[in-house]
Amino acid sequence: MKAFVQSPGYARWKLVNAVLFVLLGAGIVFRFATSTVALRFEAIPGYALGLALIALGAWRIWPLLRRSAA
Amino acid sequence: MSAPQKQEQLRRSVTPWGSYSWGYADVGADIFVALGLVFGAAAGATNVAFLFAGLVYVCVGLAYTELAAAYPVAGGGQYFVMRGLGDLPGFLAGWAVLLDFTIDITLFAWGTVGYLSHLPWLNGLDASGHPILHFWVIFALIAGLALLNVRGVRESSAFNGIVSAFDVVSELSILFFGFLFAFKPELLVHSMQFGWPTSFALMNGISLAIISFVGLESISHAAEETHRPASIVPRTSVALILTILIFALAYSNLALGMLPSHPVPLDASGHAQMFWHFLGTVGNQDKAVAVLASNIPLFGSIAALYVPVLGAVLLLISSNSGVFGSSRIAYSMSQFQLLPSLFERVHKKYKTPMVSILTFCGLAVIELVFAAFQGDKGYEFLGDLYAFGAAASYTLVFVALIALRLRDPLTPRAFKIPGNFKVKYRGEVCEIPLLGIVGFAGIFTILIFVLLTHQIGRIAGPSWLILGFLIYIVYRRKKGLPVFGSVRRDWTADQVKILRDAGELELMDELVQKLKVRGRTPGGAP
Repeated sequence: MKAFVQSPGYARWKLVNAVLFVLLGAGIVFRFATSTVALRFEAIPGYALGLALIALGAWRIWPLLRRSAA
Repeated sequence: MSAPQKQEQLRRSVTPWGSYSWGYADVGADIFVALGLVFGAAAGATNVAFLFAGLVYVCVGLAYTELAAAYPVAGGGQYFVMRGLGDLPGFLAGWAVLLDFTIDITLFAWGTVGYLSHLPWLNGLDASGHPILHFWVIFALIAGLALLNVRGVRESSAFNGIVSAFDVVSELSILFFGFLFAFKPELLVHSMQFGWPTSFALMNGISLAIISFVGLESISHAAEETHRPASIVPRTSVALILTILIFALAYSNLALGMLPSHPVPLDASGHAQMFWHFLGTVGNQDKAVAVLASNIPLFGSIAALYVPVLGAVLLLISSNSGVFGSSRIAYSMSQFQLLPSLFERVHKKYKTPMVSILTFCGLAVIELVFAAFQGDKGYEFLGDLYAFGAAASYTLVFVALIALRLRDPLTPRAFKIPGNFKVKYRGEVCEIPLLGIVGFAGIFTILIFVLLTHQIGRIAGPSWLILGFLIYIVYRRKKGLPVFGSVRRDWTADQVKILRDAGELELMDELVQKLKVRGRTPGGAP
């Protein structure tokens, strides 16, 4: 396990699932935004969920991008 | 008088993934316990309850991240509060955390049995069908965990890592297939309108929702065993905070807007009920995630087989962390002369804090007996107490965060809660965290909700604190130590040592340099 999490394969896996988080979050926001309930108060927790997923993905991608830029 | 000097040094070998999975094994299990309880209270506003509690939890998590990165010691909330506010508040924070750890033992052992009872061949373990068998199985689990901990057997971080990884993948699969095959935003809105609770029930739901975010002490426990925690802890903690928030929001939204694959049984009075209502019924509260997963079209038939087992394993790990955590906190408190030295005693052969382990497992059994006497409300009774302990200790942690920013501005903070404003205090420029103030207001509101809405929690919780305070008075008087004042400690010298031991040499140099500029030495003398 320890060797796996320090390998380049794990970094690639992290990048892939970070992108998936962002896409899933964007998908949920899109689904709510295009539904008939888009502007209702009750849709707020749905938007919050989508944004939290995007934030998690961005948080995981950020160090990888910074490292590759350096 | 530096307590950690007496303690044996823990090996700092926890990796970023180890640090994440340690926290996840503790906090990640909470949603398995909380989902059904919150649906039972907040009904159609369950997602709002999780959102409110979740936003407060983000502030709590950020506070723990800042404090654990700056003070990487295992004492957690108790240590931060003692350092920021003094011995008595530190004791009360530690004592509230101890209440949570003992409840943790019972509540999660109860949840373990609940999830197992969702398997067709273990239906006999169900609390409502066979309460006596249910009681004895939980009792046996607690006794077993106590014995294992006295022997010094603890789940390895590798095991934690594997279970956590499997659980993250499993929960993401549940949510992915659930949102893909069964979710309708329109149904979510309809459920919220149709099932919107009274204000009292919503407050009750919010106060119960905080229990899905309990266990942040594990961030501190991991920090003490992580090399260079100031850089690793913030990275892993923020990911952990977001993951837990996502699961809580996702489950509650999914359940409210889900079309289940199986017909929902009629309620007790023979009326049709919605799926989320069925999840919050007493019979399903202790296995809500398994019930939800088994009702997802296509995926549900596979999930019905493994989610109860996975839930049970995760809950058992969490229950064990209650045994381990309570003994560790009591040990730490007795070293700081907040509890009698009895709790420092270790078993001659196994070198484990046997007195602490047996005392707190004994308390967990007493809580189990009280819960069993509540009948159908037993699980909710434990949830009430759990919420009280968490809200009380987190409230004090926010006060400690702000106090430490004022009283200890020199300690370098590798991670700071965003959103600060500057003030001058005792000749030093200090930063006050705005989010810390918002978080304090939020968690204090939840504490008020607990006291207002939990009939048993509002009596049993404060009674626990009063009992602890009496023990504290007797002990401190007997030892000739101040009851309301604090024992003098050289925190600056301690901090230099803590940073050196953690391998944070740059931060240690920065602190020493700041002290030199002000004509002070790490020993504290001018």
